[in-house]
Amino acid sequence: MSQAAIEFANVAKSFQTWHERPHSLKEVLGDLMMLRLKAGCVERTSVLRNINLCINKGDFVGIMGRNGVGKSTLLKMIAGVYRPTEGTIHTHGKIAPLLELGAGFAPELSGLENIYLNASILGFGHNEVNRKINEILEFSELKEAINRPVRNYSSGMLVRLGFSIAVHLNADLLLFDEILAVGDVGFQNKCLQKIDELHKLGKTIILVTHIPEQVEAFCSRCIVLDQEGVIYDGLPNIGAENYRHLFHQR
Amino acid sequence: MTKTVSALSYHFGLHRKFLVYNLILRNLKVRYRKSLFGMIWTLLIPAGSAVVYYIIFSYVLKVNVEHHLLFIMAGIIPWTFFSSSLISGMESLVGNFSLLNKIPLPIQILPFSEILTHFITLLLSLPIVALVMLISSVPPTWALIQYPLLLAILFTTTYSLGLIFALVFVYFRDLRFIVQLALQFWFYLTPIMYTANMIPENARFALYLNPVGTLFIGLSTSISEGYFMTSREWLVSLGWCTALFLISIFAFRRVRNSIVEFV
Repeated sequence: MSQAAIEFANVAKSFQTWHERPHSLKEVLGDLMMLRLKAGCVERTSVLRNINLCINKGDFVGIMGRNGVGKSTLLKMIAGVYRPTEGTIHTHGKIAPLLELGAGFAPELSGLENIYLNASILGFGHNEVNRKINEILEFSELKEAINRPVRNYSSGMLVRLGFSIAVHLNADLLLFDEILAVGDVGFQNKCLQKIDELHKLGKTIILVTHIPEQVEAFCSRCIVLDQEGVIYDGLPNIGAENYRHLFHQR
Repeated sequence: MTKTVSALSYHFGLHRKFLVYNLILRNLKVRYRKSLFGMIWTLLIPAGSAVVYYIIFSYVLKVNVEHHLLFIMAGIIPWTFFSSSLISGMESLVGNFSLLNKIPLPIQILPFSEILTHFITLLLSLPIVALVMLISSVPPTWALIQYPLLLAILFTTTYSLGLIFALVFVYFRDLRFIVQLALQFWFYLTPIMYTANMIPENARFALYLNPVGTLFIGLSTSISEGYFMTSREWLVSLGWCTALFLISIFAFRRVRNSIVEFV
């Protein structure tokens, strides 16, 4: 029997948008005088509706879908960046939210200093980083560049460092949002193999991607999202077919 | 009781000590890495402006205050902490948008670590005050035992205001200019360049309307004249500190779940 790692119950998410968002005092005063501070200028844009999902411990889920259907919003809700407007989300275990690799890197600091900074932002402790520091350094292949300020890193190097920090810390649930788009093919494959290795260790993995072949090769489950919600949830190769089909209709 | 303690430690980000530590380390390193004299500049700038004010007020305007340079120095160093904390605390949420939008973080940690960084600078500046004490041959008095408590009130008041400003700034970007302008008035409305008894009797109440008014009396005169604050002055300082702290907690709880979508 497998345990649930993430449960979505009737989740909906919408965002407030203003037609003309009052931002400066002039506008606010104008609105006050016209008595239209709240009236009519707020609108809600619905992104996700009626999502019911149960992701089990040890699943390797590939999430696919067109741009703007809410894949990133879904991940951000799992991570806890956004709260659902309706419904509830339960997660079990420690989450590594890799919605952007190297989030919070300080450009003036060296790669090594940024490892500690980034790990603390991701919610890991000092001892854990110290324990894993050699593995992180080795995997990143940065060698002596690790002592240079990350301002001088190429985008590939930034991804290597960010990915290396994220996967070596002890999270139960890893969320990846199209982060493998940068970096050369060699490192991409190395990353996917590392993710696959983590999956075999029993970690739960959610990968948002636009490459159906990745889903077919690595995932144990595929979810396809579209405007109306989850349109497919099941086997990776059928999901990938469904995703390709989205673009053949027109 | 334990609930209150854990709520308080959450409000001060103590449940994520390693994060606070790294953010402060980042702030300090980024600020000083490439400069030859590094931290010394941050200590010299308020000291330098204290000297300028001293020359103008003491020699040009002939204002007569006991141990004038020491009095100004002891006031301007905490004021520099106060004003720079409010500005960088206010900007800490908006400035870290890309981070808040990607990783779930206890948002109060960003203004908190900014202000703690400035507080460390303040503590490191205190030897300058001691040096001026030595130069003006003012011996330390028992009035200095008030100082740790005064610093604690100053820190809490500043953090509360900084957090409130940081939250409001997300929704209302004009705040930056308002605060910059207000700080200029605020500086002269606070007894840093003059002593409280120079204020006309019938305007003395204005001191109590200033959240840091009576606090700065204590910060400068406890050093320069060995002054013990009156119980009324303590009450006003503590009252403002508590009120602002409660407002900051209230404001923070109200918006913390939704603010990330607006930043």
